[in-house]
Amino acid sequence: MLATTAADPLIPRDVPDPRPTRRADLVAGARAMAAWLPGIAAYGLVVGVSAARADMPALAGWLTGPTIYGGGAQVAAIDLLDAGAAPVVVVATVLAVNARLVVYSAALAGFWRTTSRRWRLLAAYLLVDPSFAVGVDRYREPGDRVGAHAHYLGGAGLLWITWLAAITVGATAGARLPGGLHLELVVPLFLVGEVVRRLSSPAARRGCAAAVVVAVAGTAAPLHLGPVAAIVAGLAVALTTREDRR
Amino acid sequence: MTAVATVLVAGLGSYLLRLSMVGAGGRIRWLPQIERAAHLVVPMTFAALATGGILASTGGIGIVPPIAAVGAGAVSAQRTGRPYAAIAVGMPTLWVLNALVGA
Repeated sequence: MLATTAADPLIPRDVPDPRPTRRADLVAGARAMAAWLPGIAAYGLVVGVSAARADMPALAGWLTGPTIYGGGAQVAAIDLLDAGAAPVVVVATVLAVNARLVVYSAALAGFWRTTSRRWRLLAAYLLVDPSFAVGVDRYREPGDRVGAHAHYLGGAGLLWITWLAAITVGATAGARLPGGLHLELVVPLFLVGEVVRRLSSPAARRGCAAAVVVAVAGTAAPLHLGPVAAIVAGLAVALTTREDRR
Repeated sequence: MTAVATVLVAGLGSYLLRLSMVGAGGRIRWLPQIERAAHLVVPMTFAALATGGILASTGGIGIVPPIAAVGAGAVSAQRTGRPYAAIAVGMPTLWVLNALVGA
């Protein structure tokens, strides 16, 4: 094994750079993302099926993938459009679900400061929970920042391709499945699964309970405003709950 | 506004959220309360939407099968820590109960 310290006079000048190349970083990012892909693919299938079953143009359902690009927000948009909610309600709910992306954006902005504008526009477009998690792990390692950018793009790019492929497959298959399967319950079940794993804090539990109560009470609300009222009520209860209360 | 236009507007808004802090170059630091709210809003939204979806699904098949399916799905998701388990357990539960009720 060769020593790597520059002060060592025994190291020849033509020793290859021990840092991984940009291509190797792209592959490493894709590999880091691979652990997420089975779950991501299943989630994308659910979103695609729900888009196909919804009472809305197929193009609109599929377009949630490359435009909104976030499972929870896409499910919210499809669910609300299917129910005939007003456009402002749909947009407000999507932005509420995606509000956490501002926090991710702030966390990565410092690492991206020296990149080109075009790179930042692309990197920001690809920013979502798994790409943030994979990207930030590499950015926090000391050393080569250019390699970390390639690592981010490798993981985020693979995620984007997988997500759109899964949605497309789900949307294609979902339209052919029989109505007797009652697939309209697939998305609520998935959302319930997402909720229960986020109930670790008293604030989340109380807030969700409040959101459910208001959602039930608001089923007949005009403009399909019930879910928005439920989200606001739940958030208000959660934020006024101290985390150390049991 | 058409459904496609609504999706495009929601998509543009989502992109602007992603891009919002990048221009600031990491010089903005969030208050902890805002960061907490940004994360808490996700389960609140899912709980509200799930409730509406469950209530809507009771229209054609009665209230017992979907509620039982959701209960079984919630327990399995909590035990496994995987949201997909709610579908894997909940949907068969719904089908079995529907078959029993219909029989």
